[in-house]
Amino acid sequence: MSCLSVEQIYMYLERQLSASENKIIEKHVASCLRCQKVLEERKLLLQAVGNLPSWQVPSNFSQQVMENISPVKVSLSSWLSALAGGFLTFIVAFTIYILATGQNMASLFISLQQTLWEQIKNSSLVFIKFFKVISAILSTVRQLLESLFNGLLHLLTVIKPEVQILIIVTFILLSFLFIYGMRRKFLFGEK
Amino acid sequence: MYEDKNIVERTLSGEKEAFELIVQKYENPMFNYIGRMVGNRELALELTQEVFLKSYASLHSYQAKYKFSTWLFKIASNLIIDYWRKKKIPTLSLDQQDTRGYQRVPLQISDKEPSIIKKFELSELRERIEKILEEIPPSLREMFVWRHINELSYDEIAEIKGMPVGTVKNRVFQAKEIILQILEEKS
Repeated sequence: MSCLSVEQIYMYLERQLSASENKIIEKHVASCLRCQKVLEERKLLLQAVGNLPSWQVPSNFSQQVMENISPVKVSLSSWLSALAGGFLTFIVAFTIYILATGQNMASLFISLQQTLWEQIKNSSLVFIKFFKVISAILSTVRQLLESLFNGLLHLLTVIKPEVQILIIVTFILLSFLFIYGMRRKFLFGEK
Repeated sequence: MYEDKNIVERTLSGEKEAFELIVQKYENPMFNYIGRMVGNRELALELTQEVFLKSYASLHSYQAKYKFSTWLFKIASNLIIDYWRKKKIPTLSLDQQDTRGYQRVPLQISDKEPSIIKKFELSELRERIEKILEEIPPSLREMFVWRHINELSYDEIAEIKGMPVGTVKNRVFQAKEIILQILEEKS
């Protein structure tokens, strides 16, 4: 057998070889003075590098690190996802409320708007213009929601009651799962 | 001793204090690795702290199928590369082989085999090796430190660097041969 390579010697010394490969190495080294010397040299080197002085951090290092840890910034997409989750939950809850109480959604909104308007009239004139804008927005939203509600009512007449329940339950479950998923993002980093 | 993955779970569920156990477990191995890579105690402390801050901030991206220690060392390795780039320190990427100074050394037994080791006491040899480490190309030094100071397995090093195990072994062996070469030159 020809002489060993340095790589083989390191593999042998670091126990990276199989039992049969070890035997081949040992057999060769027993009869080759040159390889014996190389092996001895690397063995001593490994002894030295295996016990190099250890660097120690100051005793209060972990405390310092913990003091500098700040809550994790939640990315914009996460905020948008959370907002979407919240909005979805609101829509589902509101739909269930309307279906359960049998209230007319349009009249509910109108009465809400009237109450709001009365409050606004009683408050300072300085805010009148601002609240007119709010009122206009509410009116648009009301129209939008009315259209949505009418669409939903139309769907309800088409879809069977069992399917309606199934859809509502699925929506609720999905909302819960979504919010649970978001929970990690928000809890993470809190003191 | 708590399992790393368990501590990560606790931290992610809002128990921030659990992360201190991770810091306490890895502060010295990390300091030893970074210290040997940058060669300066104060800077090494600063970078070690940064590794833990970074790992905390991106803990949610840690995948439990990997060992936590390898994930942490990967962050540290990238941080060192970033640091060198920012400071425009003329050094090579840790993934590149050095083409200056100590070239690739053949892993064959040569006619002029070093016989230096026996000339030194073990303690003196360790001191000399510690100094020589700074002269080893970073791409080899990094793996040498992980293997012989942090005592990681070749498989773990290969996982950190995303390299074949054979390449990792070859680089560690070369680092040791360079140490011998420098020892001989300086004796």
